[in-house]
Amino acid sequence: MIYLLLRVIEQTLIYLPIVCGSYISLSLMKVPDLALESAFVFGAITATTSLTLCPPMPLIALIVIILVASALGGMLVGFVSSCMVQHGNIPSLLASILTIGLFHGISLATLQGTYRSLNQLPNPLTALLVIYGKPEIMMLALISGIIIAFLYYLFKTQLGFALCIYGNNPFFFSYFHQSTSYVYISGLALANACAGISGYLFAQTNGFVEVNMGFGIVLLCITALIMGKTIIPTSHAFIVIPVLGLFLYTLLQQLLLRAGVTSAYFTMIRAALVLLLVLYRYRHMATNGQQLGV
Amino acid sequence: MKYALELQNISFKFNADAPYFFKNLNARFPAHAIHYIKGKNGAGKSTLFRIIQGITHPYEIIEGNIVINGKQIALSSGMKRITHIKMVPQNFDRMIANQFSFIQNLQFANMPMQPGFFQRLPAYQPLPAFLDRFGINIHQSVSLLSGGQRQILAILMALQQPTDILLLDEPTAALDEKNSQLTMAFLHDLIHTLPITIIIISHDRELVDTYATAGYYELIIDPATSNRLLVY
Repeated sequence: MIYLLLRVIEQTLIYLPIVCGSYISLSLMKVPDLALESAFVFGAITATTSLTLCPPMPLIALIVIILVASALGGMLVGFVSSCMVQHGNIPSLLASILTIGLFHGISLATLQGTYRSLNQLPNPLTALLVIYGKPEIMMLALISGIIIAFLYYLFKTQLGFALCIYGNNPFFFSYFHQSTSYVYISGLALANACAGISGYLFAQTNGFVEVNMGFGIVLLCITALIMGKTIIPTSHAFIVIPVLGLFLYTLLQQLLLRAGVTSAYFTMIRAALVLLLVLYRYRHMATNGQQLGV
Repeated sequence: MKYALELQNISFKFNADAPYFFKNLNARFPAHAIHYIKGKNGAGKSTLFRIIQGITHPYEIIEGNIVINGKQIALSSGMKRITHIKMVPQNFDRMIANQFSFIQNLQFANMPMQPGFFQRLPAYQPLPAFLDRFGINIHQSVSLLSGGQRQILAILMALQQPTDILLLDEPTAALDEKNSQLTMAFLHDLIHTLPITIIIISHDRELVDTYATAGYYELIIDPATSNRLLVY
């Protein structure tokens, strides 16, 4: 039982940054931000590349550098995608797809292949205590705690409200001499920075980086967000929504794995779960346009 | 008499090759009053408001002067928006974030050009004392307010920044009779409270006939020359 719970917590902590990021872009801003998938991979690549380039130093110092590198990698993806929309007048869905294509090539070139093992490199996630044979869980908890605290604070600031306003009424800013592109680019850069951090956490805990490791990650985010919003149906920014949704999702995932369902079927199960929840929760909202957001 | 706004020989073309859309328009609007400009659809009411605000494109040709509170502003192509003139569009709901409260929307209107990473929401201008009479719960979600109450919110949001002239484009077009009366009552209370001038543009004959008792401008198209004229 404890092993199951620890496994659920560990999985939750790994994916928490990207689900929080997707909460910003997909849920609050209502932008079809598929580029999260690229940010997940590219954040992992920039972080692990930094890991190979860093000279020997204490793990605590190393983790700060690596996290900044992963966030910057993810942020770059969000920046490119959002600039296409705001300065190139490209529809956001197409911009996401183009960004995925661009960064797939960049990732391949950076990795010089499709795969990189991290086994020979130091693991900065082991800098804190080992709990029940889990050497990384305390550092994962610390990182997630910092991200949650940051987003909790952000949602009370002008920019945090502006992100919600964008999802509610994207024309709002133009009437008050406020910059729509600033809000859009900042929001997507933040969301993808979170995805980049998550990519690194996934890569480090699995011991490898692979260019296709982001496949299906957006569906995971959507599933977790819809589960969270089904339980807490508010359209205001509330950081508990992605956290709770993801925890329930990983709990369900681990229970299904225990029941003998193989991980190969998980994309299908995720899609079915989203469908069921959408039918349950959003059916009555079909007439007011809110169904576009998760 | 002090004039809030004077239009002097305003001429306008959509591009260099197009014929004049406006030719030598002249008008004067005394300060601290509500003025009306009537015109049928296609007469150029919204284009005129755009010119007054200074929102023009570089390829548009614009000539003449506008004088605001005695200060002359030369019009030019692609000029920047004239400060101290605010406008509430016909589809005023596009100025409002529906899921938030009346108060929060006023605060949003006061945010800087780049909403801050570390700043809390700014304060809002004190609400007019007479607002109590309009039955608005300032703490509930705006989506629960009536059309007239949302129009009032849009007007107050436009007035959050220093404003001399408030332009209202078809303020009652999307409202039923009760909400139209509510909005007009609010505007008449407002003009007695704040030192502003309000210019309303409308194709609604009933609205203009009811409220513009002191006279109004009308944008008409001269059938002989197809020129647009602004007549009092």
